[in-house]
Amino acid sequence: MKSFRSSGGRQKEEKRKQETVPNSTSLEDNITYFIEAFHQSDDLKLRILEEGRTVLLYVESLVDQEKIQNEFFKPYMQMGDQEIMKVSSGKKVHDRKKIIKMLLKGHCAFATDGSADMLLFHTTSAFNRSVEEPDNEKVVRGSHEGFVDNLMININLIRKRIENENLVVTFDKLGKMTNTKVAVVYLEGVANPELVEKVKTRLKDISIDFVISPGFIEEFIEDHTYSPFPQMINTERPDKTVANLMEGRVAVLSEGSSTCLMAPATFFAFYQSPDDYNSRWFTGTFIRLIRLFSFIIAIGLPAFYISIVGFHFEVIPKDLVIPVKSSINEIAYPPIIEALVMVIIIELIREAGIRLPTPVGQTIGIVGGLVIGDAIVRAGLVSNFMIIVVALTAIASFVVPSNEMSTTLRLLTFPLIILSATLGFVGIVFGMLLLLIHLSRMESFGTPYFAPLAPLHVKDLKDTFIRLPLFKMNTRPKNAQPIKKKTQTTSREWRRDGKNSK
Amino acid sequence: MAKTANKKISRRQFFFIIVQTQMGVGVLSLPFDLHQAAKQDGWISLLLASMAIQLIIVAMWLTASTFPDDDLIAFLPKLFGTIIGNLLSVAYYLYFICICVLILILYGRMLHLWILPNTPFWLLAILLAFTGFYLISSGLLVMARIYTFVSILLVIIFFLLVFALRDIQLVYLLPVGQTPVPQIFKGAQAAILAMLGYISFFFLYPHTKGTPTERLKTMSYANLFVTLFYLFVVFVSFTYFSTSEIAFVPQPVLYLLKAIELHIISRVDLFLLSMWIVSVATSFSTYLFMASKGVTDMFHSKKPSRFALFSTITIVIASLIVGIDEQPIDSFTQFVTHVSMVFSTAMPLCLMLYTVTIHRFVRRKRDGKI
Repeated sequence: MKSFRSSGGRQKEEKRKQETVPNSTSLEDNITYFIEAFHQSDDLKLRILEEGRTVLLYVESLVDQEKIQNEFFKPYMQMGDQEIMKVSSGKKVHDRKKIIKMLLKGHCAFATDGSADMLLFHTTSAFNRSVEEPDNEKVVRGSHEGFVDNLMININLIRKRIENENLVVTFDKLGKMTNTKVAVVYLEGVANPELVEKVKTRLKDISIDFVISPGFIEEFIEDHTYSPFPQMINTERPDKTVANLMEGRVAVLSEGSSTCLMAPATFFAFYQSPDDYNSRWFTGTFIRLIRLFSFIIAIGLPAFYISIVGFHFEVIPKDLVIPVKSSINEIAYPPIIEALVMVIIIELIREAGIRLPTPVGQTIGIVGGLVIGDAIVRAGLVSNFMIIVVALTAIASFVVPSNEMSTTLRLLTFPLIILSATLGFVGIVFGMLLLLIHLSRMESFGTPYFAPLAPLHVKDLKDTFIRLPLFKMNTRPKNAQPIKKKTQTTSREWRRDGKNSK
Repeated sequence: MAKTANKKISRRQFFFIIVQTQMGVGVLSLPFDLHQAAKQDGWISLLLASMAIQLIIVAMWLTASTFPDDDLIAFLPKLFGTIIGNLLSVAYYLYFICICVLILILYGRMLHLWILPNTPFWLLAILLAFTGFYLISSGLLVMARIYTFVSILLVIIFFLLVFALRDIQLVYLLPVGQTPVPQIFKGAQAAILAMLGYISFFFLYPHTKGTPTERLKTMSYANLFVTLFYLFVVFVSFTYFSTSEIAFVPQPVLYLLKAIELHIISRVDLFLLSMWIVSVATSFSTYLFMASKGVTDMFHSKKPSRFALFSTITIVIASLIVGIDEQPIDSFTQFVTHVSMVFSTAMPLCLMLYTVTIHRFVRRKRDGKI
């Protein structure tokens, strides 16, 4: 019932959007209408020309004066107002609603008395920051370009990398009041049409007044909102976007944001970085393994340590018993309190350092890390070993290339610490088991989230745990649901020929 | 979940579900139980049990392939009519609940004895039961994925046991064949108890891809795998401890790992125990799945999670009533052993006989009339 009603509401809304209000032939009427429509906003400029017979209308804050000069005044001076109506590059429009929309985009409108048509000239000003490497996704080798906050430039960055007519871009407007432009980008013939349809329907279903960032969009279209894990790949890198498009994923970009969202995502997608492919495959594999190992450290190490000192002291080999024992003997608090104190201190330092200017941020790091770390041990609040464990955990959580996943990991540490402090190893086992069940039951746009491990696709392990040489990766990973499986035929034919000739 | 419920599991997943269900609580005490019954010839009992199970598997297959789209609860009424069929279904439901309770208390006692002497049993019971509930509420496909994934732990367990091979004495296996035959059969009964999960075949069969013959093959491979794995465990325990020693160690596998000291960690047995918990959780979940699937189908309900929750709570309460003291556990184990002989061995054989003779005859006669 509810859905029926809402769909009715949507229809009404669309109808209202399609309504047209024609211009009148009287110049005065038209101008008053637009001034009223903008509620006498002061940056709506009127330039009255030829003693009031013609008017140029624009929103001052959106246009580029130089462009007005070139696009409008130059031809106007040469031809005069009658001629310009016939031959100019301007677009004739007589629908008031449409004209308002175009004015808001930074076009300027030229109106003459006695005509319902207005001429629109494209004079949008663009303030763009230059294309720079994103700060949070730096790579050592490879492309150093990053998305900016302008949708067209971002799509240009993608198009430049895929010169193929099969790359499809579809636009949509999101946010009932902000009318934010959103683009869905995919590669026809590779991306699964069902997936594309799914992304588009979910985007269309969003009915909210304003959309600011992709974070908004993500929360509306992801499958499991009540899960700590991110379910869409976030990136500011065009090369990463292109690689994912080529695997058959669908990208969502929005105006005013430099982040691109991609679906479907799997757990392991957050552990990949373009660097893996820029370096030699041995190194790439090694770094991947280190990253996945960091996952285990980040969520499990404090819990493991707590359960050892709290429950299973026998696990420590005999040579290590005395140092550990002497370190924790003097501490007044139980290990769980120690761990929680340390984890929270590290979170405080991190959060304090993020938004401060760089020099102050460094000071916080030194004061927080060195001074507190040293003093807290001397004061007997936290043991040496706990500092090592928690510091290692924090470092491990930052190894993940994706910021979202990193925060998720640090959040997951807490329940595991509590479980291990109450039940020891048994607690850890149940914590991990629950985590595994949670990961396995999640799906992102129809792809199992924990693929290719559960369900197991042996073929796709080639690009998750390890990275094989590129010429070995003949098929696209199944988790992107591509309809074109093959990526290449034999690329190293010369090698085989060479052998034969020997 | 609604989407995944309709999908069938692959044969690889089928294999691992069977393996994970068959291996469970029993693996730690199996060598001791075998030894108590059949002394150093316990491994013969194990092989005997495995062959018996293979026979039962073929019998189950003959029954199940007559009803390719129905699981046990669905075809019982078709075989025996609504009343008797439903009575049998209820009996099976209670049987599965009993096994769940048994798993829960055996696991509780093991943890109580071995690592958590002060933790109250109810906490451990609730933790395991609700992990199982969470698992089965995700549907068979997700269960299959997880069972496949956690099977990697079996490889780790295998390598941990390989460490113990340094200290074995093959001579402990001698003399072979000295145990009287009745004792060996008694050992086989104990072995069957440790390998019970094969009854899940009835529930998985209609949800698995592949031709009937392929599915029978996969099932047989699973049984073979479990047998070989158990055989290895039994072999290591029997040769590590002498015939007289083993009578004093109820959990020989843990004891023999306790003695191993690696350079990085000591007490490997604690790690084995942790991995064993996963194995217990998987077999518990399968039984819980079968129980709640059964009761959901009986009531033709569209809300399986309600019945699953009901079953879970029943199991926890029942296990708390039995408790983890020595005496009630032993009598409960005895009870479940006897009941299992009926429901897991005699019943599948009877079902097969009934299906291939009377049911087929009746159906042919009815078809002939129409």
